[in-house]
Amino acid sequence: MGITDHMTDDHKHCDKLFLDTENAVSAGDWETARNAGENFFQSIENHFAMEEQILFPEFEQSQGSEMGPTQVMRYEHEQIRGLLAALRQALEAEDRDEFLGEAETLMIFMQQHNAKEEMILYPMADQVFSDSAQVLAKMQSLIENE
Amino acid sequence: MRNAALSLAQTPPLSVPLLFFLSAPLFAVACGLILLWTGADAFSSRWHPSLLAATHFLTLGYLAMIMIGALQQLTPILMGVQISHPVIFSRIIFILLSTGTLALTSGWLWPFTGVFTLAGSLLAVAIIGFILVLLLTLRRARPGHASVYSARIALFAFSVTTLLGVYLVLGYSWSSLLKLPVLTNIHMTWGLLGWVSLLIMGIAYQVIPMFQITPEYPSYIKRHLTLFMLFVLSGWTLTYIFFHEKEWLVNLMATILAIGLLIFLLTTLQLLSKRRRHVPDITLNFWRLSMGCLLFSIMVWVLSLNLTYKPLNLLPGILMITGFAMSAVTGMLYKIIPFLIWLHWMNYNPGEGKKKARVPNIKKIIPEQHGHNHFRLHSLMLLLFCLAAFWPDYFLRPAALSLIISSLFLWKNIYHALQLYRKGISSDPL
Repeated sequence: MGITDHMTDDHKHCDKLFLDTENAVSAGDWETARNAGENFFQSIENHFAMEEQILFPEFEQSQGSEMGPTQVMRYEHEQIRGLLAALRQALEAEDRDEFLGEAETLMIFMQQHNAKEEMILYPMADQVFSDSAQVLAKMQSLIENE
Repeated sequence: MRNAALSLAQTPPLSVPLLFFLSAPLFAVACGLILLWTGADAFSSRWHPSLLAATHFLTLGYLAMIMIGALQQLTPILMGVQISHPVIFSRIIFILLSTGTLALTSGWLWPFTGVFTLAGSLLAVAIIGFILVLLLTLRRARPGHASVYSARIALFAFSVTTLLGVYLVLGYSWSSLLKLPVLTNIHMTWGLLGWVSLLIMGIAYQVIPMFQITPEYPSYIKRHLTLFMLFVLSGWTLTYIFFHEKEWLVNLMATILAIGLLIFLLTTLQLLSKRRRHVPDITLNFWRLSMGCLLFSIMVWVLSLNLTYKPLNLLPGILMITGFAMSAVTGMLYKIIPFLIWLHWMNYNPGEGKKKARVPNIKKIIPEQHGHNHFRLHSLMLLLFCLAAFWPDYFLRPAALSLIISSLFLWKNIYHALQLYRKGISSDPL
């Protein structure tokens, strides 16, 4: 399994946890929503860690530049973190409308971000790395060690 | 590859798509005004000048306007490539497309045939120019992407539609050109079953699983259905030209096209029923309405093959344009516009040392209730137009009026969102 397939699956996994949270809020079940939310926040941070600490630096090294796609992706990660903080706040305050509004915003932003990674960045990474299996192993061990 | 990667950062200025999105509803208002002015007579024949003008206000002024605006925005986001000089390019295309549409419709409304030559030239340059530039840009996109592939096929069908249309309008100015009613039908079929249907299919493959969190479309549909439709459409065209007298053969080809659309719409409805998000969504309502109208349109068309009853001839076209195409395109606007405004607002930098106020979430940029109210007006408009096909004396003017109201409501929703953004970035934060 290459980087593209693995990371795309991880996006799908995060989507599922997002849905569990959003559906619980929509149904007014705050207890479930908070638990699902914690899972979701953790999974997304793991995903970002794999990218920011391993994948992006390796990619930048192979390109000889920190400019370009990874820089944009890092910037978008920061924007996603801002939205996650707003979601966390709304969960704590049990503010349904606020949560669903921020969730819709995150949903669209995250999907276009994922699409760019899945269609452009990951396939490029699979192509330029001489040994993408090794990069993948490094990313996985990072998560397991945390 | 390098180009594709770098353009991850690029998104055209907000004014590029919004100019098209804000103008489109006004063209729909113009369509309503013509029908309101002409009244029931407009539905007396397919060739009534007011009906031709009204139809083109919708197909060129509304559908093409929004699709061209959206494609300039979607190519960087979904396909990783951006048209160069986006602002100047979009302004030129916009001016050519809107003046071309106005010239064309005024040619029908005021018997002034010289204007058709102008209309044909403006529209040919606008649409063919846009398609060529977009195709050149798409060459830089990564290959093998289902949406890019379908978009190319849809753009090819759009070119065929345009070239036939231009030939037909030049026929009004220069009577020496061969006038073939056959060509009008081919123009209309390539427009509705080629360009409009194939582009909506290509976009649906991408955005329905992405934003509605449904399973993916089966790969045989994503890879082969659009190309299959193009082949059958070409086959139908040749049969229609050369074996016109063999009605069963022409109908057989048309039936295969209808089956292709049926596969798409049933798959889409099935995917939407497997949607894993439980929150209400206005775009979802528009998608379902759009697919329902497409299904209804196919059913009426099958009936019209076996029955000679005049309303049945107009109804499939009404359902395809105002039902299937307008609903799908309008629904997409409710996803695209709030997101784009939010994105530009987020990326706006108030300058050194100035603190930026918090950017409101998407549901505050266009409140959900406003979208739902528009959806109700839009559905009422569709119902009235369907009734008008049967009883134009009673229903055509109310239908036209509801189109005007519904379009103004959409315009207001977009305009308010834009005002909110302008106010947000111009107010001096403390």
